[in-house]
Amino acid sequence: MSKRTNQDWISALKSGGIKQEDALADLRLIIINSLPYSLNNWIQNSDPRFEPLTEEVSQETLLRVLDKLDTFEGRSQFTTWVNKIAVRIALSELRRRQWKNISLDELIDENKLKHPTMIVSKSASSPEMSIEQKDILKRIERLMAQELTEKQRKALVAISIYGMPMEEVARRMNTSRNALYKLLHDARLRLKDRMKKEGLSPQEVLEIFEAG
Amino acid sequence: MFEKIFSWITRGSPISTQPVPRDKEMITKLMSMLNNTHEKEFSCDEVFELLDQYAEQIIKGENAGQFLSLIKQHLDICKDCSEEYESLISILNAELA
Repeated sequence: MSKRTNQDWISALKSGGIKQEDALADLRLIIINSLPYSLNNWIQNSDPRFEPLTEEVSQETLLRVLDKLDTFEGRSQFTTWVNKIAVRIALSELRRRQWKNISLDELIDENKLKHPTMIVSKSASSPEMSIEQKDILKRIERLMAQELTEKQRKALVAISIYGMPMEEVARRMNTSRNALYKLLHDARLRLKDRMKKEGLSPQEVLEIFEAG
Repeated sequence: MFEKIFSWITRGSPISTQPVPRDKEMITKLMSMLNNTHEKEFSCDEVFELLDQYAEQIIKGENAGQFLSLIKQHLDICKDCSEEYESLISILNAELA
């Protein structure tokens, strides 16, 4: 497989016929050979599901590359741009599989969200917390209940506390990952701003909780 | 209650070996996120557009330009994008080797 320049790739992929077929075949191999390096935290090469996954991802990637070819601006190597797309597709699929049996409502008990003091925990009686820590926790719970919409609270808790991937939360909320990020950005700004008005800073709270 | 929920959601998953997050851990996660919150932040789509260019520049040790801090800020907050960035870096490192 000879090394192609960005222009070679674009020209071949746009040309149709045998040139395009050869380019797609070469690109498929590049994707298949790259994925093991990027997915080893998710799935082992020896896992029987690995090969079908990489084949599925490479096919999907090639389709997306052809569809988005005109958006490539040449600011990186073409193969890096392609691998970026492949990684997005692969990790999206792996996240979907990992979280598929978990609904948002089950993850976050709906009743907790209706009771402001129960958003983060019912830790008021937690013995390992100091009085100061318990007081701050209650204050933050109250602020979250007052400043954030139910959707924002739910998403924030699912993502930042339970570690659910953003795109999985977005899927369950029938929105896009990008739109959800913006919704949560707004939520974080509101919370931070309100904390500031109440004389609390995230850094100070961190220090109080990290102190023990 | 949290132990029960957490053990249920993590059963069979790669994170099932992680300890149950305690309240302190939860609050520190939330506060770290707020600490990294800025008025102007790149969205996931904006970062995705630039990720290939950014990753190559980081690998080469080049100045990633005016967007460096905005991309890095986003990667510090957004676990999904951060995972994709790290995966891409792994591929680029393998290509260099």
